Amino acid sequence: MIKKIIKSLTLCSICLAFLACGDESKDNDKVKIRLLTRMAGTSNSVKVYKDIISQFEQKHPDVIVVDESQGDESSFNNKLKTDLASGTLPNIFRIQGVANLGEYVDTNLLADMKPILDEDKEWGEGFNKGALNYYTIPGKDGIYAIPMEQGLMGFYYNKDLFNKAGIEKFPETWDEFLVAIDKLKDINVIPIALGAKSTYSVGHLHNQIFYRWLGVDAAKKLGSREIKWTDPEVVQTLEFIKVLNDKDAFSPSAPGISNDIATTQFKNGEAAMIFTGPWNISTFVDPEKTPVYANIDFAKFPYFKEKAEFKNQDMQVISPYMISGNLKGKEKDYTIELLKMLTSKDAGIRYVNEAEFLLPRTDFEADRNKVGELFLANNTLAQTSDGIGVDVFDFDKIPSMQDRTRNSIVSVLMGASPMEAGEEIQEEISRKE
Amino acid sequence: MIKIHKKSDKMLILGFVLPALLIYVAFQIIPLMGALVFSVSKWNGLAVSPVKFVGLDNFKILMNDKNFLISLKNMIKMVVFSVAFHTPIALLLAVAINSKCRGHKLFKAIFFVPTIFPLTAVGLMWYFIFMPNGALNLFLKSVNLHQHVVPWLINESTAMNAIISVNIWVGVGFYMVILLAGLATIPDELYEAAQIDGANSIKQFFLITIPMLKPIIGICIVMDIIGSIKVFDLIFAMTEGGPNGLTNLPTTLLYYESFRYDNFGKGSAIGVLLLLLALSLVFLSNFLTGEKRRNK
Repeated sequence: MIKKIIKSLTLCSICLAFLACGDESKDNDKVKIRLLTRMAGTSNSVKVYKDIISQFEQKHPDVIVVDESQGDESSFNNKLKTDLASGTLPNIFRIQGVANLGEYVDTNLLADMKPILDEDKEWGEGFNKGALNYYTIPGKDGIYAIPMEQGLMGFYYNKDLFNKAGIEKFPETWDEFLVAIDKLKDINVIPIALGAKSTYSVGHLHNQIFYRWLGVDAAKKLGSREIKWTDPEVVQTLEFIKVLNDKDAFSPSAPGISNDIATTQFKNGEAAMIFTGPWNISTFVDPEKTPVYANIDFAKFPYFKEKAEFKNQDMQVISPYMISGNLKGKEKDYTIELLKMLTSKDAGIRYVNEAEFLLPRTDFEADRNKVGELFLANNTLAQTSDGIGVDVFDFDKIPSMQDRTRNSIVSVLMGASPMEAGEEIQEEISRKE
Repeated sequence: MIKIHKKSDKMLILGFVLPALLIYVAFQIIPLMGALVFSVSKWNGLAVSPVKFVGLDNFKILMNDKNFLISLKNMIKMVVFSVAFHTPIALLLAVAINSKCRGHKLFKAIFFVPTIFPLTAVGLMWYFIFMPNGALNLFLKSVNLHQHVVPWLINESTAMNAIISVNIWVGVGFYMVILLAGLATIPDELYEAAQIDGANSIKQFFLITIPMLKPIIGICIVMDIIGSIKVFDLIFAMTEGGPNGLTNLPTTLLYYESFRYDNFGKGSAIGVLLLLLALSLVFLSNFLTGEKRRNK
């Protein structure tokens, strides 16, 4: 008898385990829109983003929005790769890079946004053309992403420390910059906060040096193999990193500390400047998070006198929303509607005024009473860019170039010569091609 | 012993085993088969892209890949040092604690504590100790040992050793508990007889404790080999495989190749090589510790 009871219970438990998927019939009638973006966390920009999604859901009770966005880069990448591998791509997502997007287009994973932009003139014509054109893929017609964030990368610096070091204004040229570094060292502060354990930080610094020395188009030429990482001019861009390192512009700890720690050094007044993007503005103006908040100002990376033509070739952050190329019918219509709501003029006004987060649109202006000086400084200088690049490897088809280039640049901080670093990167290209 | 004859008993056993078996097949056997297929294929990780058969190309590429060879060297170092230190230290601690010295329960808890923490948390804690301005260097400076202050996780000669030392520290408690359980199975009469025959503690250790614990020591070594080959989270939390790939292990490289570089074929080939390597080392270890002969 006991055996029979045990047997029955066992079999029931097995059945329950396999049937425990729940009753999803109610949800099956609704259109489901999945989002996988980097908009996660507790920042004000995420609050605006969540609020817009909530408005969309209220407007369409027959739609369920499943927001699977991840703030952490690794978690995001892992989730995206799993979705790509299993063929369950979200409706709205983002993929890093430009040149590597070709195969996503060929396999119909990315929707061409150009017809949608052309169709809705009011929405489509409001975007910053440079940001929009960033997502034209070599060899393909169309535009494959809607830019959702833009801002200038540059130096946030501590005016007080600069004054103490006897530097009246932020240096405009590379030579003035090197002099300033010496003066900052003389007052025993770290001239540039850098945490190269987070390799992107030194990668970003090199991107900007690269654009100032060779221009944004040179990055495209690296991607199309018209120039090589071992070419003297390209090696020179790595040499500038070495020059800074040899001059002790960074802390000796730089290769071993994370970017968070380096940022804290800057926020506490231990370091005079940090090269980073506009996403840090909200913490830099927060007295609780940044004790030296009142002294922080923003400046563009200095230019090279001999390369004055690239004075305004800037690294900017441009983040995209992409939509799946396989959408059809109501699901597609709703996805596009949500995308438009997230990137509309109204959204742009909310993002900038409530979160100091810049949508790359030209059809609105920030309310000067609502945004801070630091944001305005970044925004004003961003208008001077006559060439915009994001990461140099964005134009390379080889996915491993993100890690390869950044790691090799870190090796320069550890004593490798710029030519060795260039050869290491070029070797990766030879191996993968 | 319960004898099973009836068909209904067999069904009952099957009923109990089936859920676990299905889960095992779904999450172990099928992915393993998948990895074997991918290891001889080229696939970029897109469901819509074809999986192209390339034979042993991925393995050939790995044999000439500088990064893989560095990771392999690191892994061998990790295995050798872990096996060389884990079990001997754990054995000494287990014997000391088993002697019921004063405060033995406290010592047992202290040595076991690192084992219960998540490895990621352990890795982060040691990262803050080893970082250039971390606790270790501050301590060395405070006792005027400035000449020994080094960037532990950056320096080529110290980075991997620092991680290995943490792996040893974090694992000792686990093996100590296993060996303590083994010590509890040795009859006290053996030690009493040895004492009557005049054997001192050292002789008792080598002539009774070690031979009696040999099967347990064998298990510890096998687990240690497999554990050392599988280390991932510790590396990720402390260095992410950097700087410049210096502290990569095949496990971290597998992750990078598959999930960062869209190279699932190469990533799977690393996984298959690791599996073969682990199996070979386990067979070798069983052979050396006499497990094979004993089972016969």
